[in-house]
Amino acid sequence: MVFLSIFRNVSTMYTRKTVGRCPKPDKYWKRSMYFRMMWKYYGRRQHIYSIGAPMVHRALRYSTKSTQLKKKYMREMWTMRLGAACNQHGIEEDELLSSLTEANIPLNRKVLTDLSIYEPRSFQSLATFAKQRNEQSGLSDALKPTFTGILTHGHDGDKKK
Amino acid sequence: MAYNRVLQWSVMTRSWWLYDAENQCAFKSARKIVNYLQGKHKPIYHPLSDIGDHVVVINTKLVAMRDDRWRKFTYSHHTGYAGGFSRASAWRLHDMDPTKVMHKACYQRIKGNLLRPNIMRRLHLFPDDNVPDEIMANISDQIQQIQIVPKQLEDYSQLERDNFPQIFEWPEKEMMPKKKQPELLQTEDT
Repeated sequence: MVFLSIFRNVSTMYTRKTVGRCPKPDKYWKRSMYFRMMWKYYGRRQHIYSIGAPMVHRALRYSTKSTQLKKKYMREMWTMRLGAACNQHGIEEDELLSSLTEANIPLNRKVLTDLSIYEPRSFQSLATFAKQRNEQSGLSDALKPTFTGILTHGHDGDKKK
Repeated sequence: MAYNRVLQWSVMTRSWWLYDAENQCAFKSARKIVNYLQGKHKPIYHPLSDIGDHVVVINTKLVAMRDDRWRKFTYSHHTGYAGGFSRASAWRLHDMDPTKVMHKACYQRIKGNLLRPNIMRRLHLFPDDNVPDEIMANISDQIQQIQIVPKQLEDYSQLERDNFPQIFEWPEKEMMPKKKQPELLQTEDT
């Protein structure tokens, strides 16, 4: 929505502040702006300004909040999708992302999920590359599960230090 | 481009998975199965797109629980009327219906919304490994078990037991007498 009518109000209000003597702006322009946002409501909310305006204010408050929430939800979805795509090739999401960034392949979660959906073969090659890189660097050995219930002197000493 | 269209169909198809619940924790395995039912194992997942798969769980009668969970874990129910509260321990519920523990574990794991009943319809539970051929024909792959099934003493042969390395042999004074098995006791009575 583009509200050109709001400039009529703003300009006159600005002159009222600075100069002091100026006729008040016409209410029609402000109200017409609100009515354009009230079209989706039902009954008196749609047609009466004093009833519909608070609804518009609340809707605008929600919309400003949701700009941040949308980014959060999209990130959650990408992590979930990328985790699923990584599981298909037997690699963890953190391992993949870390090894790709270390190898100067700057791909984020969004791009990787798009690749996994629309170009599964190219994603597979990235996953195999990351796996081989981890094996060469010795990271995969460090990430292997350790045996529980076995205590040695060396382990205790390392923890205390 | 006809080939690409067919690839898309195969992405959207519902595949069938097999899961063997023998000696597996019900709650931990439910966490894994529910992902397959909802379609969270696919990179095209979205909560509103209905892309979940079917899961056939066999041997739910032999499902396992940790520590004293069979005795201590309880399932409660309220009818809504006065005095309508009832509670049953896990072993008692398992006696009544051997698929109920697995069903409830999966049901509680899924978010409570209008999609849940339809998701649960894709879960097929069988107490034994006797699955109808109609269902068995659909299965394409199996889900990996969450924990390694431990080998019991009965599974080892006598030769393996004798050859097991020992640091020293206990003197006969220290050894406890073997318990008589119930089958032997019955033979003595008769």
